[in-house]
Amino acid sequence: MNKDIQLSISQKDDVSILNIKGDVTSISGETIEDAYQKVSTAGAKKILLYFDKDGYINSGGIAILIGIASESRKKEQKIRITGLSPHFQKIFDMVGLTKYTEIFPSEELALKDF
Amino acid sequence: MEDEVKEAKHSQRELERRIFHLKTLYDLGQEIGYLRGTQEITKNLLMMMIGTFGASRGFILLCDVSQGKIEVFTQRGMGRNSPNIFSQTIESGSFREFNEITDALILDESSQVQKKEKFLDLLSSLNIKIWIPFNIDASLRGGIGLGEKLSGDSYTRDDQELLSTMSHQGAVAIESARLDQARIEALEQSKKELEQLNRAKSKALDHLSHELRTPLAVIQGNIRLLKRKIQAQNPPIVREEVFDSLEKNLNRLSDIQQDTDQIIRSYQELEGRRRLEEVDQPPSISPETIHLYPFTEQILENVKKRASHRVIQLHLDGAEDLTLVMDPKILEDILVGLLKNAIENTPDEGMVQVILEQKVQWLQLKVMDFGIGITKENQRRLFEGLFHTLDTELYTSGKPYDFGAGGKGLDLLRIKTYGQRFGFDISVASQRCLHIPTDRDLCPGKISECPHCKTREDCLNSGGSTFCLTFTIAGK
Repeated sequence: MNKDIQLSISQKDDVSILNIKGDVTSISGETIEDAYQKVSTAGAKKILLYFDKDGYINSGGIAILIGIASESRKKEQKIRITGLSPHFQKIFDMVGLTKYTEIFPSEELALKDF
Repeated sequence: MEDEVKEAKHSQRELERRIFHLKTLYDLGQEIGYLRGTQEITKNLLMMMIGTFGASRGFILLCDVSQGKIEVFTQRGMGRNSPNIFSQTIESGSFREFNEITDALILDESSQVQKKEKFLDLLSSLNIKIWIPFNIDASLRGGIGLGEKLSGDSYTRDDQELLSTMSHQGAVAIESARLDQARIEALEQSKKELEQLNRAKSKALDHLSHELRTPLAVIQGNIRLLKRKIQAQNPPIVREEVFDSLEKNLNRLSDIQQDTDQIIRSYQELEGRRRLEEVDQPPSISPETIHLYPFTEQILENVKKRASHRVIQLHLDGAEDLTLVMDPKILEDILVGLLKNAIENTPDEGMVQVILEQKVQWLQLKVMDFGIGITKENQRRLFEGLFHTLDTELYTSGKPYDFGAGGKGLDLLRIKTYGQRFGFDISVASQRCLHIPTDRDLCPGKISECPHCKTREDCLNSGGSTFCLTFTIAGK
């Protein structure tokens, strides 16, 4: 059973942080897309996707993240990811998402890298 | 040592990849299994495939042979809603070419390229690196193409197998959705045809009913005239009973005509309301809060008077504090109809009981008789109207409330149309008398004259019918 996604947007200096709790699927992923579009429209150039380590991400959700990563290149934005469980860190690496973004073990390290 | 660590890491990664792929198959079932639209399923399938392999792009091509159309679902870059759907009519040559590709292809393999050069030119121009056939049924065939992986890796045989499995899952979901859609369309078509037939039947009945009215009135007038003339002659050349019988049967025909008119009007009103969806239009009724127990008690008293020539016990049981918002005239009409039906099917010395009950959000009014009951076959046709549970040959047109008087069969139909109009349900449960199992077996009409029942209880236990009206209580 999928957990409903909960998303909040916060700002630290010039970094927009999308806090994502719950399971990411092609359906719930729309919420992430909407949030990404919202911060992009507001001019964000640095975006941190902060996942819940207990959350699940299925292939449909990954397709959405690929879309966001691809879009961010066109908009010359930097995307960083944190909060992922070790399993999903490997999956993101396998599907090639790490070629477009970087994964960090903590929020602090991710913010430092921008 | 270093090699061993490397090997272990590789194994671990491979294991996680396979777990991810297995979970993907499960997730795909969850994502598309309950969807009922081909486009929705196709879009979700494409998203899942792109996510599983980390593909830069992808498309699904569906060729509808019956409509001569190819639909292309493409996904590039952003979002689940971005797959653009191009629907175009294709040339017959393209169909042929397209049908030639029946195998999965990995475009890096030069051996395949030589065989399928023509089609591969097209795929290469779209930057497609893997192609999987996607065949739903004989009329809907297609394929799925994915672009290069973001990781830079090539597609493998394992990938091809997984993609084929996902494609089969998608094909099954689409086939199932199409079958469901075909079933729904067939049902809607049948419903339309039935409605048309019903309207035609209603028109014909309406016409007949109107056509009957004038000649009936003329005959009634002429008979009255003739009767007066003949009564004036001494001695009368025709006995008065002949006129009585003529008048009785004419009145009966006239009643049928009026009842039919009433039912047709109810039906037409209901149909009209449905067609125009005039939900807010107030029906021509005067709803009031009815205190059911005293209301039913009063009706029972009236019915007792009308059926005073019968020896039937009428009982009222159940909750005394129930109320219902409804037009009292309509509820009276329904209740009298059900009681009349119950009394006419109960032999003398028998019993009819009315029960008032509340069950959670429903209020039930039951009219229970301990009479001859209704055979299973007749129960199915009971609300059709102009239907008698007795064989036509055995049918007696007695007075109202007589045993086996058999009405015009319209009371129950009228109650059913009321139910459709005012939103209550009518159901029947019946047990045909054990001693007279078919319609041709006769009940003597009096328990003490029954050759099978020694006591009254024997009769009460041998059969009977319960008509139950179920109303939803407002606000619950």
